[in-house]
Amino acid sequence: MSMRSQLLKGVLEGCLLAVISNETVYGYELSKKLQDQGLEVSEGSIYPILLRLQKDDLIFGKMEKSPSGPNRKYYYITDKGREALVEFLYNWEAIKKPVDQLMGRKKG
Amino acid sequence: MNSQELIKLNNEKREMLNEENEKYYEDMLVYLRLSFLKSEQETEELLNELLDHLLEAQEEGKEFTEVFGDNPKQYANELLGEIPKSMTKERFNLFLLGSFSFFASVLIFNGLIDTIMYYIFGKGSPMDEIFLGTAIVKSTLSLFIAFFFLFVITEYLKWSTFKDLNKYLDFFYLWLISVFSIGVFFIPIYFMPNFGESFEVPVYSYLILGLMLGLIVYSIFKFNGKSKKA
Repeated sequence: MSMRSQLLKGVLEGCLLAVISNETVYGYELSKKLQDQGLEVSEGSIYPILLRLQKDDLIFGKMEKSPSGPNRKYYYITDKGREALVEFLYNWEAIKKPVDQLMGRKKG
Repeated sequence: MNSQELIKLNNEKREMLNEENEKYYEDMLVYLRLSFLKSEQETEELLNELLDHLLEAQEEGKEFTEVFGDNPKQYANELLGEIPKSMTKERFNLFLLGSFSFFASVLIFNGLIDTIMYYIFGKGSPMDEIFLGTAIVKSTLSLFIAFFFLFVITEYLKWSTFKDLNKYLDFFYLWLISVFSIGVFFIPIYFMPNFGESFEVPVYSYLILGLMLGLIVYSIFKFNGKSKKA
């Protein structure tokens, strides 16, 4: 696995939680939302993560009728998921600043 | 939606895929469905989700590999690693269903041949002598062998998906596995000495017993389908 994909994996989990905590989405929609933010990941890579988040009870999926007709699996965040998101944000902030500073120093 | 309904829906929606996407998707479908020990419901829900995604991507002119990456097998394994295992009860039912079907087909096959041979062609005998000890050991052993070969064939099929195997080579491999398994089946049947108490039964009783087992398997199937829907 490339360094980029290893780095992304953990971060992606947090991003999926963040999107799902804002609104209920289905898989395709979710991958579009990530791309709209400029996150360049292969669309399929969200599914193993969605499965893992479900296994850990951070989100749950429900088959529902979509506005356009067919049944789709929509994802909802759980209380445990919200806690995990808060923890992720905390960890992310703690890492982001020092990393940015280190990188900035090197660039400058 | 239960897994049977999802499978039906999947069959209908799959026809909307273009040729190239269908080939890749069906490989993935076979690969995921061959993993018997995973929860069927979860697997079918996932397959349905992936298909929906692929269909939407196809409308944008995207290919399977653009959506799911260049290594479908590795991707499928990644998914499998995250699908929950099926419950012990589900597994036990599957095992029971498999065993019953196996014994039903063996009994019907043997009973039919012996009955036709004697009553139509006048060959063989109307009665068969059963040695209780031998019968028990042989049945257990052959069931064990049957499950082992089911496992070998499943693993072979999983290995051969996502590969562009030559049709003849594929056939040859399957032929080799079959010949080997039939051979292993007959060794204990021919070389095991008779032991245990013996009694005689009419040959058509195998047929009746086999049909009864078959009926049980059939009703379990029907009942399972109904109870899942409710």
